[in-house]
Amino acid sequence: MKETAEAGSSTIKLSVAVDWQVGEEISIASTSYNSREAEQRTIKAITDADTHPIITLDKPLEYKHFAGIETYGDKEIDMRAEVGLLTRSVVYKGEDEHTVDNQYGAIIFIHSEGDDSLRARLSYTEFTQVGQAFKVGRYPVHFHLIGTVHESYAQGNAVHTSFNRAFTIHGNEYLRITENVVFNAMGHNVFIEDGIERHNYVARNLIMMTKRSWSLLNTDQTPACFWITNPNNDFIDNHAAGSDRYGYWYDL
Amino acid sequence: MDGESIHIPKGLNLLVDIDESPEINALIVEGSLIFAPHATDKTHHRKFHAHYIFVSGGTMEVGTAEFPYDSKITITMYGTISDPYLPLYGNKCIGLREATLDMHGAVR
Repeated sequence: MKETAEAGSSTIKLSVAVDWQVGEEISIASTSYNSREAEQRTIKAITDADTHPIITLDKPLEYKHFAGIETYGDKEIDMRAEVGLLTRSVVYKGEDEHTVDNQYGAIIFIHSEGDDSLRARLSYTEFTQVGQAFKVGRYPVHFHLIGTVHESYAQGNAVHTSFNRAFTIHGNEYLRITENVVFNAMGHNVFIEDGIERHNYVARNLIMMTKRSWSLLNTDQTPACFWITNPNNDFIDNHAAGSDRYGYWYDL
Repeated sequence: MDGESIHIPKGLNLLVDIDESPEINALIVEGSLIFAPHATDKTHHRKFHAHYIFVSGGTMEVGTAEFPYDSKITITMYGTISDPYLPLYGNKCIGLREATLDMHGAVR
């Protein structure tokens, strides 16, 4: 965001050009100590989209969202609230009637044994009402014990309202997870499961409002946007923009 | 019809160009399952409903990286915690085994 939006405001100003359209969904990161102040809204109007966009929201913000760059000594710290687009033209979801009440959503389980024995290429797809709460292994996008996955990637997707993580990397090498937006997902969101995973590339993702899961792994009670069990993986330019407990957790 | 299952054997390609599918039980894909975007109407919204999609040795394609699915499609999955599980893969799921899954929306 370009300027702080006060609680009760129905407009936000962005600092970069966007291709966002009226009717699309966005999420606005919390900037307080309470990560649950992230908010989802629908775009009611947008002007100056190709310069400094001004977005009118479908309803006023409940919380203040700060946007400033603060200077400490010779260091500048960018404290501006992130805003993510949640809408995509391809949607993969759990049905509307029971999914949310039961916290039991759709999943994609990607598994066969052997280096490069499969390929899953996911880009600019929306995953919502996904993940099956409290069940280990039932995640929206789950790469499971494959080996190297040179041809697989997840790029530019949006995962929101997930009851069990966002992206799981379990026993895989050379997976690319880039430029995804995650909002409102329970448990560790980007999850490197075992500690044997290496050479995965996780870059330029935006994660906000990571929520605890009381009955998954013990560590999911204090969840992380990025849960990292092997340091031989690349984490570059990601935004951990609000979690019930941790942003990055190197659990080594 | 609602509740029916579909097997696409190796060598066969199923092109989905209906506006809305019934609520399919299981799709077993050993050939290919291809969803086509609308050629001209970018507001066209295709809807597909299933309980299980298991892609084994085949391909499921919802757009490609080169030609994204640039009209709208919603793939909705059904099932409850007490429904039968595909071994390993679970339920309310796409399962992928020695296969290819492409899902590519309009670039944003």
